Amino acid sequence: MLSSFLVLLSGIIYWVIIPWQISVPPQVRSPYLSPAFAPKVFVIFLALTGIMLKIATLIRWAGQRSGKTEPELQPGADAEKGRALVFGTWVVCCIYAFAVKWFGIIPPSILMIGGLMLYFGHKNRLRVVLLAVVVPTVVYLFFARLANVPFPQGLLFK
Amino acid sequence: MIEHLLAGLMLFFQWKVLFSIFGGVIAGIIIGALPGMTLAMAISLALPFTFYMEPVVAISFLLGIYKAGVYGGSMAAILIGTPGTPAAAATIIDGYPLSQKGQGKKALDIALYASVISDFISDIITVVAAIQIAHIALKIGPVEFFAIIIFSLTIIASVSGKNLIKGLIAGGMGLLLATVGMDTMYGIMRFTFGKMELSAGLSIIPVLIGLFAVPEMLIQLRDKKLGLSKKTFIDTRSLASSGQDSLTLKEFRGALRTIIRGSLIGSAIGIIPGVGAAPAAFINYSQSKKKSKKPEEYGHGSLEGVAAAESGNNGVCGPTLIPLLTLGIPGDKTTAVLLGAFMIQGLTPGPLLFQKHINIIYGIFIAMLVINIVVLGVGKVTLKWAAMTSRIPKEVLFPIVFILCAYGSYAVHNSLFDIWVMVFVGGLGYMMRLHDIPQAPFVIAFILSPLFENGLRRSLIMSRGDLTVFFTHPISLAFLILTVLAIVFLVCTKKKAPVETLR
Repeated sequence: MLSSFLVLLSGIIYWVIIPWQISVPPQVRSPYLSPAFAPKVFVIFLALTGIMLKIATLIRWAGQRSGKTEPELQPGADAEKGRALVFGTWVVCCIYAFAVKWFGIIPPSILMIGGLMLYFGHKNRLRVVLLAVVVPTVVYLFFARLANVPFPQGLLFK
Repeated sequence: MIEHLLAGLMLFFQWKVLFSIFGGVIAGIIIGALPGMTLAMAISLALPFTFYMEPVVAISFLLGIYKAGVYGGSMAAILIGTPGTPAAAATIIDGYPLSQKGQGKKALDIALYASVISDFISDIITVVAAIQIAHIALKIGPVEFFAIIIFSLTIIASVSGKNLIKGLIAGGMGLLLATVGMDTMYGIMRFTFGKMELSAGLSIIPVLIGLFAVPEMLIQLRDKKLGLSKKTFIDTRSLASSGQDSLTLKEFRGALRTIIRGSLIGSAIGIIPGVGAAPAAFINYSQSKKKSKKPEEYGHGSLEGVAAAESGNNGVCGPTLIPLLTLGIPGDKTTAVLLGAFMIQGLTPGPLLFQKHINIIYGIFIAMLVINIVVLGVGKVTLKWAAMTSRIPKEVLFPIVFILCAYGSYAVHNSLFDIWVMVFVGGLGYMMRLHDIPQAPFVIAFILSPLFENGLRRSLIMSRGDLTVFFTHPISLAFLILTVLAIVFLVCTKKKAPVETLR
């Protein structure tokens, strides 16, 4: 499936995205100097690796039928649950990135640390609250005061 | 040369540099001891904190993390049989059995001495070799440099681990993703989809942080929730010293030849891009076993075995910087991250670095040598406290790591967009882990991609579009032949034996 995805993606990038996103200036005469040249080479390389992967997989499956290689492990319930957990955590990270724009960096960071610690099983609530408040604040002070990084204050608080 | 050395000493002897070395070493030992925290991840996280430091201070701090972290990995390897870093995998073979016999402290002592001595010797080799290679590298033109880049892209294959094709896929992704942004020759936008934030391309720091730290966080938290996490804390009672557990002078002298051999083997391997510390450790281990008077002890708790593994993996630390400093080509993912550090400081690694910033380079070389002495002192004193950090629960550690990632990514360009880059690359990194696609080739290709394109363009402008220029220049032809031979060699060796995946 990965190999098919790669070949399909490479095709979309080559025939759709590159012509759409890269406008080659008319003064470019040599194809090797074109701004689209390197991306096209890399996409073709990616497609070829997808095809190589497919061929290698087919050879491996043929080997399995003749008993030469070990079969793939079957995914279990844990694998499905694990992927759902990872996806959910990643979505929370996206929500965090979105929230920083509106609420500033400290409040979402406090909620992020506290929420993740509690959800993933830390039982000491006092420690959760302390770490959730202290860590983002201390790191904020380090960057903002010592390194003069202007962190976002949040559009809602402007 | 003397005046540059003196200038380097002046840059080095500031309290800020010494403070940063101590800080880096302490952080490196602690992080190296934590299973689940890789050095590339640690250095990526530390990068944003170095923005506002002077070059020698910043690089010393990061090198302190790097060198001390390689030693720190041995702590978990010896005491709990889990390597804190991939480079410590060979240390488990004899280190863990020693620990099980109640000689954990002795094993840690020999590991510390082997690490420091080997690292010191290899740093001296680095200082001498780097300067000579830099002189030679100045004579290389764009045509030769392009051929070297092509050869370097074969590094991708060598860091692919077990699956060469998946390594090439990762490399292809890295090459393509690096083309996002403004084309430097014509000034037109590529793959920006109308977003101004992408006009400068994807920033390397959020990409590194996202690729190394975020997937690890997702996986560690997932394992915690599903109850798949092993209890990997270090029991500090095993570090209580007793008379019988101390390393004797005789035992140390017995391992000294192994340590020196390890530093030389590590140096020879470290200078070759893409090989890394773990193979150096195993190669020195096997050589040491062949030449040992007591080979039967290997695998059952041999101090020489621990010394061999540690000296091999630490011997790589210094020379692995040679291709980075002299040619701007990172040899593995950790030096790829260090390349980011140099770029942040306005130091472009390559032959001109030794022309324009030779005083800073000497300052860094001196720092490298001093770091070893600091590792020796700090390693002995902080052993117990570093071990205690392994008790930090994962559900406490990794949310904090994520927040550090977010702050650090933002601080690069004061851009919220970089937090999004970190999160999305983190998702991509997880998908790569899911499909067993290694991350190291992605990073190296991402860094080499602009060099590839610029090298090709400059060469063709010089030759007026004549592609045969790469075959008519002798050095270029030599590297292209080496590239073909390297590919053939890699394909043949990967068919024969599995290689530890460098992730």
